[in-house]
Amino acid sequence: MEELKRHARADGLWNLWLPESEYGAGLTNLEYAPLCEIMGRSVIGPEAFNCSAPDTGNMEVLARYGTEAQKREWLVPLLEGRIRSAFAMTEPGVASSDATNIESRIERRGDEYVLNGRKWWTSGAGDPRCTILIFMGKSDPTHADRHRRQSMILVPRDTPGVTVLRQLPVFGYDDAPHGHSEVSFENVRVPASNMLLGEGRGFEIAQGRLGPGRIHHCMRLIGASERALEALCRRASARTSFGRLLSEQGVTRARIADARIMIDQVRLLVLHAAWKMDVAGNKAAQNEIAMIKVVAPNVACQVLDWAIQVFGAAGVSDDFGLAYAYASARTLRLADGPDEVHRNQIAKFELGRHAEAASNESPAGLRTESMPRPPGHGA
Amino acid sequence: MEFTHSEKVIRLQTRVRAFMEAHVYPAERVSRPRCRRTVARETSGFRPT
Repeated sequence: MEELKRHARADGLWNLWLPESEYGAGLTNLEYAPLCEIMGRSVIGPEAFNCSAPDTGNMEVLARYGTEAQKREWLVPLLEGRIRSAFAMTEPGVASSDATNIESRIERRGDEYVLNGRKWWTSGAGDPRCTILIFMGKSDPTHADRHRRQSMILVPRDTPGVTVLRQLPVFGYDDAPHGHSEVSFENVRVPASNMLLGEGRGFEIAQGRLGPGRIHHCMRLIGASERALEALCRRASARTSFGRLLSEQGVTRARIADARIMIDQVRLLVLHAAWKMDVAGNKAAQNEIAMIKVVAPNVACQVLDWAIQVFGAAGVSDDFGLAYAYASARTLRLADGPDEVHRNQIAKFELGRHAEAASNESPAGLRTESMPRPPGHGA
Repeated sequence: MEFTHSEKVIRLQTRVRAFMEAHVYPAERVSRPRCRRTVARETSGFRPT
């Protein structure tokens, strides 16, 4: 991987992901989308270009919210690909899809903060190159506003009290070398200057971080879906069963057609979300981001599943990369918010659009004037 | 699905695609290093392999 990174950096194909920043390539999200899609065709592609999770999200946090000293110490080496990072948010003890549940503590003691808690699915913490973690915890658990109780703070990986307990496999894959770790934080002391943005601003940072991170996942998933469909078509055109090529069988053709339709639908949605992020900002695009975060992993899983089916038992082996790609895509129905959370947000937004009209409805049902009448049924 | 991109994006697309073909796909089958060795606590019941 380090050799790939050296090549990519020398070729100028480096840090293409960071928009509107002095650090990135100066591409908008809409411009980055087709490039990220190509990188996403391989599970190792994004890292080769220094465009992989969780580093891109963490670099975005440092670029947006870090102090000059934090940027010098952590952002610069991350941008240069010399170190890697991890994001410690999810906890085994609570339903972390609701981030207000996070129980880890960040307590001020003089010029330091003391951290305690247990995290898991801290992707990247197992990587020997991982040097810095962003830790989310409660700094003011009784604050009246439950979205102001959390903070984010930088924790050097080698700080005493940080212990990687184990690596969590994903359907048996260890995702080496970065892995997904369960990590304990026991009386971890870090300088007060490691606080990001300020106490109580953790939720604000999370929202800023997760929007771009989510759309990058979706862009990569389009690439994974495209590659799976290519593999499906090639295999179906080369294998015969019951006297006919698989590609000549109706069920295969229907799946190929549906896959093409679904992938193109996802691409259009992703490009629309990217455009909206560019012109209106990440917050204004949160509904579009939620939509793609539901549809992109589901479509990728479906297309990969169809490809696996065409490959037969070979599809679930490690010989063709489909099983690993499926495991990665399936994980993204949970990572950065499960489908259900995003669907809930989309529904709330949609219901909100009609709230005023709904309040004017008569108890008996819809107002007659709100529904078009069919021809011949005039009042 | 065809889109109109700027010259800059078209050039980058070509270069990223070429890089994937030349370097990334061939590297996919190279075995990768293992994760950092895990440290098990006695209470966790986890045994590192």
